[in-house]
Parts: sequence; structure tokens; C-alpha cells
Amino acid sequence: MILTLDWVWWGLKWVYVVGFALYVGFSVVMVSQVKQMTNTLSGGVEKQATWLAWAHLAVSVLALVWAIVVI
Amino acid sequence: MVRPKSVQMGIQQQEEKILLLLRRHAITNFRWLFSALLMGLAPFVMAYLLLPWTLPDRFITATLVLWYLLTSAVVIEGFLSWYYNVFIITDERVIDVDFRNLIYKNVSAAKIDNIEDVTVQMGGAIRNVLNFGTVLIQTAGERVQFEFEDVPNPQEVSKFLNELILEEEQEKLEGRAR
Repeated sequence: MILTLDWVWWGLKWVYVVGFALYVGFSVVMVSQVKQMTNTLSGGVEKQATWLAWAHLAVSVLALVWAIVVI
Repeated sequence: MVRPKSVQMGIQQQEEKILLLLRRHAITNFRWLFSALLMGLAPFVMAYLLLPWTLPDRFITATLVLWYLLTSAVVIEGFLSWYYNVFIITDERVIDVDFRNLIYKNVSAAKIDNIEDVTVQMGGAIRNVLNFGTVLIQTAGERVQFEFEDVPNPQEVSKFLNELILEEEQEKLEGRAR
């Protein structure tokens, strides 16, 4: 079976890594946007929103590292 | 939110008071909540449909991790879009903060005395039952039309705005306008 060839898994691994890396980029955009929005309007959930955006970025970075190391 | 005390805007002027802060009706969140729910359940359905397919476990795990990260992004973005997409009426201006998605943001403002016409649009059964709709504000300013979309109690908002316009006109006549 061609799917059992190592190079196919190797190629697939890097497809996933690129996917996770793109996701980290998206998370960075989210953090910066939340920062901008909390400057525009404050007095509500900005602390929680900022915390959530940073936590989301942290999880996506961890997922990227995991993808590189484990897959 | 009427006269929210803790809320402040980055573009707030000195002595400008926020009188009304409006968000879309909570029911408008249904679309992204439903999408997130479907996304959350999708892997279970897919696992059943694609049972004959076999990928190494690490790839299945990676797919699930990526998928649930995307689901979390839909939830976070949906909430932020609702929360930060606000319409503000101060004693001097109307302000429309548009936060459509993570890469589009627009803040527009018009002075109360530039408002020429306020119209309420309520179409559809759900809007009538839950009493929410769009308040259209025509201005003589740079941005001709403001849309306060899907806000609760649009008739009340329109009435409030009309009272403010009259008040502003009165202030002008008496020479008290800022």
C-alpha cells in the first residue's frame, strides 16, 4: 500500500504542521484585535476577553509544538 | 444598557456622557452558537462514517486538535463580534463600532445635531415577537447613514434619539450647545 510509505506520513506531518502554524498566526491576530477593541471600549469583559485570547494563543502554540515533536 | 457607568470609549470627549449602549439582540448569537454545536458534534459523525478509513492515531489526534481549535475560534470570534459590535448614544454623538470579524473594524460617529431622520425597521416574525430591529439614522455628516442593527426595543431607541435631537435643538436656540 502506497499509504504506508514513510515519505507519505512525513509529508502529511508537515501539512499538519503548516496548518497549526497558520492557526498560531490567526491566534496572534486575535490577540492584537482584542487589544485594539479593549482600547476602543472598556468597562466590561475586556480582562476576560484578553485572558481568553492569550490562553487561545498559548494553546495553539502548544499544539504547534506538539505537532512538530509528536506527529 | 442605559447610562452605563463603568463603560468608557477610547474616543470619548471630556464631559461627554454615554446615555445608551446597545448591542444586537442576544438571539442573533444563535447562528454561530449552532455552527459551533455542529462543529463540536461533527467528529463523532465523521468517526462513524469514516470507520473503514484508517490513519495512524497521531494523525487522527492532530485532526481532532486542529478541528476543536477551529471550533473554539468560532466561539471566541462569535462572542467578540457580538460583544464589541456596539452602538453608543452619548449626549453629543451617535457612535457605531463595527467589529465584523477579526480583521475588520470600523468606528464612525456623528453629532446629534447632524441627525436628519431616524427610521425603525422591523421585518419578520422573530423580530416582532422578540421586539428587536434596525434603527436607521440619516445624517448630514460625512457618513450619511448609520445602522443600529438588530437592537432590542428599536421604537424606544428611536423615541430616545428624537428626544435628544429636540433637546439639542433647544440647547442651540438657548445658546447652551457645546
